[in-house]
Amino acid sequence: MKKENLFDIIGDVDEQKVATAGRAMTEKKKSRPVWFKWTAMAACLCLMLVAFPIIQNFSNTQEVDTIELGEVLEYSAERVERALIGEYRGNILHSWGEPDFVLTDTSDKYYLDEDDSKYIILYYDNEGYITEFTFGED
Amino acid sequence: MEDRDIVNLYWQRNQDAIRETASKYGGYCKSIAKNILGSNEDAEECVNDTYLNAWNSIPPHRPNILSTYLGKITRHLSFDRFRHKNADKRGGGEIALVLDELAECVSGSESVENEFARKQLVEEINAFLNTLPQEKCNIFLCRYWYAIPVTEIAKRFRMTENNVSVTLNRIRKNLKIYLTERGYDL
Repeated sequence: MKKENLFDIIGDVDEQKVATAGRAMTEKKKSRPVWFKWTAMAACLCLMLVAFPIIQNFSNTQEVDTIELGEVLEYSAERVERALIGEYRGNILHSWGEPDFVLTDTSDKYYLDEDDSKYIILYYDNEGYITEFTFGED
Repeated sequence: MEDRDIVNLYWQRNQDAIRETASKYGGYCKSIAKNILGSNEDAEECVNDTYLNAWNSIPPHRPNILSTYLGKITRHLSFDRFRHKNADKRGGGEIALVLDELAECVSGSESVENEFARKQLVEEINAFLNTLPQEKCNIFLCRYWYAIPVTEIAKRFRMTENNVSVTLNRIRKNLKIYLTERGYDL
């Protein structure tokens, strides 16, 4: 067969396929209206504003979630506060086990070093969540 | 105007059919003719011949897809014109390259073909096209049915020219294997 014959024969293939190929070649892809771009950008901005604190909180939660009693000294008071009080309270407490001293019904004392010199006192509310803490040294 | 209405105009022997056809599909037909012939003037003539041919063939035909029906006439007329004008020399539009590429699928020998054998071969090629992913099928037909330059295909399908050439090369090879396995000695 000659190449011209093959070209001729290809001319008789399924017209539906030919039409589809023709459309694929000629149809303009619909361009999005201008408002679409600005709406998308605004939506992204809103998403970032909403997502950022959540991600940050999640990251903070992850950061303090594994805090151990012995590690408290390595953390700043601010981070301990984040870990023990407010929305993170209750996350850590039970992993510390029994306190060194039960001071009152709503406060416990934990020593933080082997010398039993530095300590932290945790204050609880009626539901058992930590509301406050203090560092001290004997 | 809807295609169905244009076809009805042909059937009613209303000459508005030509005007409506030219308005809706003039550019489409001209691009096919231009791809094959390379010359604007020749393409124009072929497109005008296409309208005449459509006028003479509808009725009795009632095309399912008017665009392809007209495109097929244009393609046929343009290729005929190309063969007559280029019997002794190369040239024309994209078609010379297209034919060179298709030469890889055939032996180049003379073959006696009857209408039945031709229809069977068309069916086999259709079956082969059915095995291709949609995009590859489109690329193949854009090149070998519409004779569209590789550059334009690449642009349209967001591929590199090299990627299109490689894709076409693989499809041609697979087509040859497909047809050979089914007893066609092209």
